[in-house]
Amino acid sequence: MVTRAHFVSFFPFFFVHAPVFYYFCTSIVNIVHIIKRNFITRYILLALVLLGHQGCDLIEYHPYDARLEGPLHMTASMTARIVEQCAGKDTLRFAHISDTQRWYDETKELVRAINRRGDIDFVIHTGDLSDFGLTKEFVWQRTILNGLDMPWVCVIGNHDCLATGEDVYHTMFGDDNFSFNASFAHFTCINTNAFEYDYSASIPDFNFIKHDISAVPDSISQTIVAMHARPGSEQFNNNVLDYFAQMLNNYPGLAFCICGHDHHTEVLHPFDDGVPYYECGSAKTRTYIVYTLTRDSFTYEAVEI
Amino acid sequence: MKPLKYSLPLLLLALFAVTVSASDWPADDKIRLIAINDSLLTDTPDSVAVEDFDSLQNRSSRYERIVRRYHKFWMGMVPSHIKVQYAGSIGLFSIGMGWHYGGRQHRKWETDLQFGYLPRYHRRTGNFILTARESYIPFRVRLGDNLDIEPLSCGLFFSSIFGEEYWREQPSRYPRKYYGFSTSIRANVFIGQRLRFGIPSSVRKRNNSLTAYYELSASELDLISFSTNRWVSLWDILSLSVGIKFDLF
Repeated sequence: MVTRAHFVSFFPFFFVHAPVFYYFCTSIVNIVHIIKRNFITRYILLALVLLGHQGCDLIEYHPYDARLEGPLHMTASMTARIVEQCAGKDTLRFAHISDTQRWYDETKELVRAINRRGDIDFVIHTGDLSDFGLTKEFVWQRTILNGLDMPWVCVIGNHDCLATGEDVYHTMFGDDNFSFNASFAHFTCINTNAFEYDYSASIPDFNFIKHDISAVPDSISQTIVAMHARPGSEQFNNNVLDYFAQMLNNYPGLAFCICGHDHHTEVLHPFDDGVPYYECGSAKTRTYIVYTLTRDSFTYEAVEI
Repeated sequence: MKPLKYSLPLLLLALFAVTVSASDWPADDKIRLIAINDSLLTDTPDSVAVEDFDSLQNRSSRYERIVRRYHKFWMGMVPSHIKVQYAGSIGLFSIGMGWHYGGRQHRKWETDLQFGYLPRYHRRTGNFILTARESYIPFRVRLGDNLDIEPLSCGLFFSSIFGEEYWREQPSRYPRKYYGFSTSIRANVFIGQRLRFGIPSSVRKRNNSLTAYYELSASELDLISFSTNRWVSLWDILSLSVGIKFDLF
């Protein structure tokens, strides 16, 4: 049997710590007692929890809490809208924006400029909605980009993978690899931020690309691949460069790839297979690129607002 | 009959000796109270031998002074209050202990150590958050016998979230300054107000006063977003917390 004498001998400082420990325990007992007995306290606590769940902006449990409300799993609904709106069209026109992180004023201006044109079918955002991966940043960007008159989809960027950003992305948008068919064009959006996962995840996911290629319908004459980090960037898994190029070339009519990440607008040819990579600058450069697709050709135009 | 004559007292003596040696004296359920000058102890420290009691009574004993100083130091470490807080970027609920000091009433400054829990929501796991808080309460206004208002409390707090997806410094695989911030540690500033209810000594049980408070805080990352964008309003970055402070003394 363990006696008090044992405890004292094992723990010589017991008599010093005892008042601290005693006070801590009794205070917790006191609090629990108050909550149990006092109805007012209980209702105040209940009211506070409800206040937090009602979406009051002032209540935040942690910057990375991933507590999300409002429209979620948006990739599915947005791609459905794109497919529906573009069905049977002979000319497609889509806008490409990228790296809108922490440039809310500029993003708002981009949204306004794209809306003002009125000829854009949909918008592809090539990653980096958030700068620090904070839940709040995703919500703010969603609020601004939902101001677009047309549907929009977003690829995951390296900053979106920070801390709980990836969980927020998966909840707010959906899978990080997805594809959709708009009339005659096939769009594939893939996660290429291998560096964020320390190359330990299958990024780029060749399994996804393989299955996606086999599922492309015959009516497709052009394919566009969207990613955040281009092949050759420090985020990309550069060990698989050639295989990546080969795999993409299996897509029917691979026209071009679009990317972001480097914060400047540029045309690149990372492989000598004739597939151009169009890189859009960050929102800070106030640039968006408009692509016009027909069944057998395409044109592009970088617009600075 | 001579042996028989002495056997009974011998037997009793032996029984007494066995009883005394078998019993754990002093019995465990009895508390020894020992007064060393002004402090009352419930037990002797192991290091104090019984033969030292004579020297303990000598006020100028060096040993006794050291013990007294040691006690004084550790008694000063006893937390003076406990806080229970809702929200405020440090967890759904957080509980913490703290110390108030400074000023005439020893209530001008407060240091708190808070431990919060953040439920899972859309993350992979729930997380614990440890917070160190320093508050400054420059003045208080007396409203009644047992009611004080503290119109301003301000300060800063650092919170650290535990979990494998958060890092204090960027992992070594990144080039230098690739991400120039920490995802686990947040620095926040806050400003708030408090109402302190004194508990009359006739009904006082454990606490001498209760303080209800609210605070509005902002983290350094949110302040960066706020200062560089007109679109981000102050209400977007502020985080409200409400709580109760239980003062023991």
